[in-house]
Amino acid sequence: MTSELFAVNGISITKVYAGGTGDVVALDDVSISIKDNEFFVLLGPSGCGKTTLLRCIAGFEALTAGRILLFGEGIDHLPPHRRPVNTVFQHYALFPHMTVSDNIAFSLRMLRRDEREIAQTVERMLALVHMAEFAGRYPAQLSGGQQQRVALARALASHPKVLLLDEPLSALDLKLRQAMRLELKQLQEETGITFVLVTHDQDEALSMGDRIAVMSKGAIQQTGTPREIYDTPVNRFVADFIGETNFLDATIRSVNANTADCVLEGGARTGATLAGPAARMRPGDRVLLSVRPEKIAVRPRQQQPGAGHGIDGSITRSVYIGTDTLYQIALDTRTPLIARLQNSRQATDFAVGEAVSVSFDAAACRVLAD
Amino acid sequence: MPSPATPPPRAASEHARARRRLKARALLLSPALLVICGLLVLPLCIIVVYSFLTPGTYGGVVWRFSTESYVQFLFERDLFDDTLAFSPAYLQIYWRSFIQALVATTACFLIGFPTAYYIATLPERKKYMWVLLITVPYWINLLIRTIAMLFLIRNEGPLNHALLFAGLVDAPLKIAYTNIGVGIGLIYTYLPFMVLPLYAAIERFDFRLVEAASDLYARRWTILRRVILPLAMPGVVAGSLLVFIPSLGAFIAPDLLGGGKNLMIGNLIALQFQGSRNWPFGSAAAVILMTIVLCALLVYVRQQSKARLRQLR
Ligand SMILES: Nc1ncnc2c1ncn2[C@@H]1O[C@H](COP(=O)(O)OP(=O)(O)OP(=O)(O)O)[C@@H](O)[C@H]1O
Ligand SMILES: [Mg+2]
Repeated sequence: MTSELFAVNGISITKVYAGGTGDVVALDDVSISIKDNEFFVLLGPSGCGKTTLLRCIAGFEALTAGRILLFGEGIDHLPPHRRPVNTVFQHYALFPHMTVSDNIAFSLRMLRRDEREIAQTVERMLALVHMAEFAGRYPAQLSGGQQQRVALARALASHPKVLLLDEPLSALDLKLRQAMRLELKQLQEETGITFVLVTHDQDEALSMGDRIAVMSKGAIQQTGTPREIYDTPVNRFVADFIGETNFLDATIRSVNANTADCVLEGGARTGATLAGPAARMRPGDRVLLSVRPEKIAVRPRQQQPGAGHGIDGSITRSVYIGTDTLYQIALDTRTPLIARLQNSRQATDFAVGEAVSVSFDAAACRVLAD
Repeated sequence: MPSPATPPPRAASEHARARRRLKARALLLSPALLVICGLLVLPLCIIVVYSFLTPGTYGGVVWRFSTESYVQFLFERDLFDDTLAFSPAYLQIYWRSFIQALVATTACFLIGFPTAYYIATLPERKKYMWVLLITVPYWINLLIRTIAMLFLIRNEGPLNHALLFAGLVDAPLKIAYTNIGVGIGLIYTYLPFMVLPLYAAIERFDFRLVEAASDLYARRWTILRRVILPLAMPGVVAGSLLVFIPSLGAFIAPDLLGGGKNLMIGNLIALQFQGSRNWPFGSAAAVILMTIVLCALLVYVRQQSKARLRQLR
């Protein structure tokens, strides 16, 4: 099919948990291609099947249907201990009866490496995660962040081909979490190991991932770079889940290449971009438009007397949030619009009740397929 | 009169509270203390005292101090010239009991561990039924159970009948009245004492560690040896002690299933009070057994607390 060799290639993975009260479809025909050397992020709300997908790759769960290839080779018949894939567990799962050093050395001892080589690797791993002075401690004597580093070092020690990380930062406080994001990213670049990280935190996904797969209800909604996911969401779920956005109901009047001329509910007109699954939309179709708050331009109305584009509205609320100000603007539509304006610009402040004119580029406004 | 606004000195009030708490705790403890003192410490003292007295002709003791019982344990006194010759007869009984208890403990562990593991990994609702089933033998008197076992394993019993019928053996297997019979009896009697502590330990075990180990290239047996067993160790130790110590002094199983041929410590002691009527010697034998067990326990506890202290908290 493809000539490119992927680190992980999931083909139509389906996983059904048989439960007493009924079957749970945790993964529904998921296909995924993770490149070698990539920092890949699985992003989605709680219960969407992220952990299940990781567990399938690690070998803890048998697939109900589908296949998983690792560098082109089928691994479905291999038990976890024969897969060159290591996991950093959400709850770390460090061995409580072993010191930090012994925890890190565990995989190397299992692989029957030479004791001298093991000692060297452990030392290197301890330095890598800045834990050298804790080598002789037991996990119960470490803080959450320290345990997290040990779990990371333990999983990296045998230099696996793929490292799976299940919400590794969720137990840390905000400061530490942000510092660890950078460290993880750096670690991935230094080691050249393919990282697959699971998170439900969009900031984490956007700041670390080379590519992101957005999941919902056991299916992948969209895969792409952080910019693609943010700027060109393919459907309502992705647009809503990643960042803030405004949804506008509209009807397509005409289509020109990949730009659609749309009429909003109140009769105002705007251009919007048609791409991906939305490209099949035709004039007359009722569609949903998505515009990010920071892509909206707001001007006092009297500055543009009778200007053709621009949608009339009035400010109903304004919230100062430091770098920006959020304005809630009532249009002739059902839901008010949220606009986000930077405070550093010398742009005028708008008062509540002020009449304004709102506009945005066709490129910043996406037609969503559903 | 001091002004009522003056608060009482803090140290004093805290001291009083601590004393009150201590008193309350002593009150809670007192029934147990009474039972232990009355039924354990007092008889123990009597036994220690008796072991240093002279045997009466028809049982009982004569109140004359003597270390003869302890001498008798290791040496044989020549009837004519009163010289002492080393005699390992009693040591052999102790050694045999030790081996029997060790074998029984090992066997209980080998049978009990898979059982406990199986129960601990069952769904919550089923666990309790199984734990209850483990205790079923205790609903029946030990003597009855042991006699029933004797009927099962004796030459004309159903076990040998079945084996003969299946053509697996030509003559009945001699199990009853042998060391093997005693061993089977000990295992049967004490197995639940092994299973329950093991179950409690494995129940508490975090099975995510098994996944972590297998993720890090450990095979099943290695996981058992390097992750599950070390973490279930408190249960293994508790179970082993609960089987080993009573096995060492067991009386009913060796008496009924061993036919009293190969004496174990329990039989030896019982014999001194019933047949030979040498109370001081029986007491000495009991004191020696207790001392050995206590010393072994002390050494063990010392070692463990040193190792554990560093590990968990
Ligand atoms: N062992 C199991 N038996 C039955 N159902 C399960 C099992 N494990 C997970 N599920 C179900 O499968 C679905 C996906 O679960 P999964 O753990 O993969 O979600 P997740 O995306 O990792 O969520 P979270 O962010 O909360 O960790 C959920 O509906 C969950 O209830
Ligand atoms: Mg999860």
